[in-house]
Amino acid sequence: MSLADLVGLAPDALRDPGSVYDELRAKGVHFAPEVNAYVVAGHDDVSRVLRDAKRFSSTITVGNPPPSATDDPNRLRPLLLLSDDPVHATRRSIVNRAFTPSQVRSWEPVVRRIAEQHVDALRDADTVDLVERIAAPLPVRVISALLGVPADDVDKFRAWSEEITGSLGGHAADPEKRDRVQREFTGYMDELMNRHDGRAGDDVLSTIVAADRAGELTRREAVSFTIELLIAGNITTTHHLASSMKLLAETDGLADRLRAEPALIPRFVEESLRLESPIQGFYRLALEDSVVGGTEIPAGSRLLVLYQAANRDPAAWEQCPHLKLDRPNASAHLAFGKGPHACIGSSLARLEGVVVVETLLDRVAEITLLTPPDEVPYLASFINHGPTSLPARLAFRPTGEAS
Amino acid sequence: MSLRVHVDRTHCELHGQCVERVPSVFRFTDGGDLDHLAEAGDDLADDLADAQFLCPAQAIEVGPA
Repeated sequence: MSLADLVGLAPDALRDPGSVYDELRAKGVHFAPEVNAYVVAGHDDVSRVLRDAKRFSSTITVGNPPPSATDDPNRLRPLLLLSDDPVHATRRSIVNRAFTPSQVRSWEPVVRRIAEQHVDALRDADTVDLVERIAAPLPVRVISALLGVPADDVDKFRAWSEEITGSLGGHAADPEKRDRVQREFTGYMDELMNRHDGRAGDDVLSTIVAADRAGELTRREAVSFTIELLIAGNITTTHHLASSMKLLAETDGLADRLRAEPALIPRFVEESLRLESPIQGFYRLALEDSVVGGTEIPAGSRLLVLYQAANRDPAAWEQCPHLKLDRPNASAHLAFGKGPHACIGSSLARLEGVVVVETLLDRVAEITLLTPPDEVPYLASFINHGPTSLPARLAFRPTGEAS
Repeated sequence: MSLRVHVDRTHCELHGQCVERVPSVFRFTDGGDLDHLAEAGDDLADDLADAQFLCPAQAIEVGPA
């Protein structure tokens, strides 16, 4: 398989792009016409480009050209994802306070209650789709709860969010539909912020409303911010949860080991992130001539920076393709990126991963996947990576049995 | 009296919140790596506690020198 297969969205390449990345890594940093970009696939090179935000701009992160003066000013644009310092640092510090690890820890009971509801609802089902019933609805339920979105609106929320994110790295974008979805979504969030009582709280929306009312953000920016955070944490966490459940079901002895030693669950979650990174890579724009991995990159070039390839670089990881629960550098993977744009929601994503695995191990004795491993369908995108369906049979443990 | 500052490099994701908060202790090098003083004065205890609290990767340790 080649990069052309991956970019062409061939199902086998999307499911397991490992051999494509091995080939890209072996070639070193090189220009690939398939993506009109220099491909960066080695761990050290990826890390270097991500750290060096002065030379490598984030304005083309998702592959689209940077905003220009002729663009529709009403078009919704991410405020964090596509901005560079100093603007990025200022915006980032506003929302960072809402996502500190101690803040995220305080949300654990909410996340656990939602996870338990989703798992318990499957108790009497014969077969279930783990994506449809757990991985897809759970992150949007969690972020909606943290934003204060009424429960009745959660399904609408999810549909909007998926519509907007689904077009990243895929070929299915319909500009008219996208614009309509953005208008509806923006109007809804604007209304939600109008209704907010302005009291300082520990939820994300309060933090943003406070910045809005203090004049640190315009209303339009505040709405864009909220939507960006919602979208950023939705499909990525869905894929993270789906891949973790798949690994849990298909790895011999793993569930028993984790049940016997629950302290290893966070390490499993790190390995899941490393092996099946929900974001496979993002783009950067070279602002000046530079050299990466010995290759000259002229100013103005695009770079495709492959986190997943870095996470499977044998130079950085012993027994690289294997899931190991005792890696000393377990959390040093690049699934959340690195540098000023490293994922702001990483603590929340990790929490959701750990809680879902804990809840499944506690309630379910055995998960049997019903689709052969080489037939599991993956999202048609080479940026977002995750199964779109995981039919399974769950053998619940008798209620009341302690784990 | 002074404080010892340590950053766990396996956890640090270089978000830069500490650089924003306590630039007299933390800075980014030209290549975007984190550099920091190993010791800081007691007068920075509150600022360092903020940096610790804000660090998305919880990679900062502060203790007595």
